[in-house]
Amino acid sequence: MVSPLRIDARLLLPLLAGVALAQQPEAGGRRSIVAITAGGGDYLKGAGGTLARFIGEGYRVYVIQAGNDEKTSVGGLSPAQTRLANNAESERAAKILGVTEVINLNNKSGELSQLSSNELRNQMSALIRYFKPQKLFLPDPFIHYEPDWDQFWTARAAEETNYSNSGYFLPELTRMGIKGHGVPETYYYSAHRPYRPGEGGHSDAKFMPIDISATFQRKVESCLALGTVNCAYATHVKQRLELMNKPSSLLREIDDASAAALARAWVEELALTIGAKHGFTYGEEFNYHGTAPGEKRPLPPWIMERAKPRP
Amino acid sequence: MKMNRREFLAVATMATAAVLPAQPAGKVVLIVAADASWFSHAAGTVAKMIGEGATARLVRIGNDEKESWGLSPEETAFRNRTECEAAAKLLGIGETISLGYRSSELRDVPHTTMRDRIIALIRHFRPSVMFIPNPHAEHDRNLDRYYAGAAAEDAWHCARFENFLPAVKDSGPPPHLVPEVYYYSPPVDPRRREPESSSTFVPQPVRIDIGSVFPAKLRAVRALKTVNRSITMRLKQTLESTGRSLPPLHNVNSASIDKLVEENLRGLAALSAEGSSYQLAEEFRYAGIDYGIPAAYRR
Repeated sequence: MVSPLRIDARLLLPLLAGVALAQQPEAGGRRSIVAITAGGGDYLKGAGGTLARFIGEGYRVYVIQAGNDEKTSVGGLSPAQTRLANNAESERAAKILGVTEVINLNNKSGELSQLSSNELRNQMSALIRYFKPQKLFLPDPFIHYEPDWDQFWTARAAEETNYSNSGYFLPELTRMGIKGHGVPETYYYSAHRPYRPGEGGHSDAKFMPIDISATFQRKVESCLALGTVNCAYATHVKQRLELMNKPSSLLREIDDASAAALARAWVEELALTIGAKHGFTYGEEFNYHGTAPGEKRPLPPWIMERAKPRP
Repeated sequence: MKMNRREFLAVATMATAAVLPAQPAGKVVLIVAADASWFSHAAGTVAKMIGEGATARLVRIGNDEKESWGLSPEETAFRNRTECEAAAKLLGIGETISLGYRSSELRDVPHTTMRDRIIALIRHFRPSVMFIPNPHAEHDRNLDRYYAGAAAEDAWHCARFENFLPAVKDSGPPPHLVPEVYYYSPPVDPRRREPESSSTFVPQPVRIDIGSVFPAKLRAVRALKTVNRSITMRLKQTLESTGRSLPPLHNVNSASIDKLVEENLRGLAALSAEGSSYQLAEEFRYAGIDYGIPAAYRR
């Protein structure tokens, strides 16, 4: 006799699948975007203005954060304190930008190379299949001179989701009703630097500058919410300038105001530098791959020659 | 423990003062090397800095156990270690630390393991300048330089944050920020002299005149006898297998090897000087005072 508290797993699966399906965003509902980020602020710096633009057009943005931001602080905050401070500030920053939800995978920042890239990819894939976004923003694993290697480890796993979202991966999700999802558009962003000249690929892959002049202030406001990160950055800039005997009068004291002013100056110089390349005041740029909504691309002849009309 | 923003900033300001080391008279240089090849690409600039009063230390990641002709890995590793230390001494490098990982097997060393050992050394020696293999150089077939470079670049970035290496947080040296970094690589990347963006965001291509220190560089590289013999014999073998020969290599001996070393180094330095006003140079990507700091703060 079966105890009333014991449930056969075979009975549980359809129930879980039903719950999963009920929670999935409605097909044909508002358009959605998934943005993948190593730390809480990286997607804001690389793509915040563009995401704000899409939010203004009615997109919902879900952020998948790979690392827990436990390392980025100064002044004696422990890893736990740092994580809590940075996570709270990242949530605030996301809210300012208009992000719908931040899903923090809570892996240890600074140690992401120890995580299996398949495991990280699968964590991301599950959420992409759940949210079924039209657009995916991910850090670019191919950029140079990004000394924060968490960007690379996150980017490499994120890029792999481009082909690992099919129903052949993670069959347990397929069984539960969370089917595969091919993301129509992918935007590769660089978090901390402009792209080098000559970016862009072939056929559907192109280099895409975006004018963020209209949303730049919102991007700045969200970046300024990252108080702990900005304070660490200001402290390190002050150290470097002093070590090289070139102290700046703008950083005599490090407080909320001076840290925010420095963060604003950096974000502004990045946007101005990119904008100047493309004829905007403030810009962001992406390696883009995909087909925008409403855009029709003819199938290549090697596919058409075997295509048959549906009976 | 809860800390409000005001208390936090006060502590941060004190921390800034606490981690600033006393300024030494000259630069403190830390070279991170995947293998002995770093001498060919950066030894002239290091010699120049030492001549200007810098102190320097070398960290060897790989053990160079495969770079020899007809010797066992153990014998090769031992000889190359001894000769690298002697070559470093000839340049004026004060100390060589060998981490001892098997060369050409660095892929198997966890990134964070290598990185954390370099962080420990950065915090201990507190350099003002680092030389690291460039993990972003394209067309470099030696992947040891990529893995060592990735770990060294990450170490440079992470050594400044208190929450790395928590095991020695109280007993070890405090965090340290290295203000200048030179990325070195063989000059094989055809785009190595193109700035990828402005100096605020990426290290810039630079060339250093090594004309005055070329003899010192040559002396140091000639001391790498096992490596040089290996390179010479491989060249001779390649030539012979393709029906060619080079007269100085008909009889391989110390003199012919030394001659080949000089030709190689002069050729390399002349290539790096091409298009500049220098005769002999080394080229790098350089992250200095501009890097990561908005222009308004550098005035």
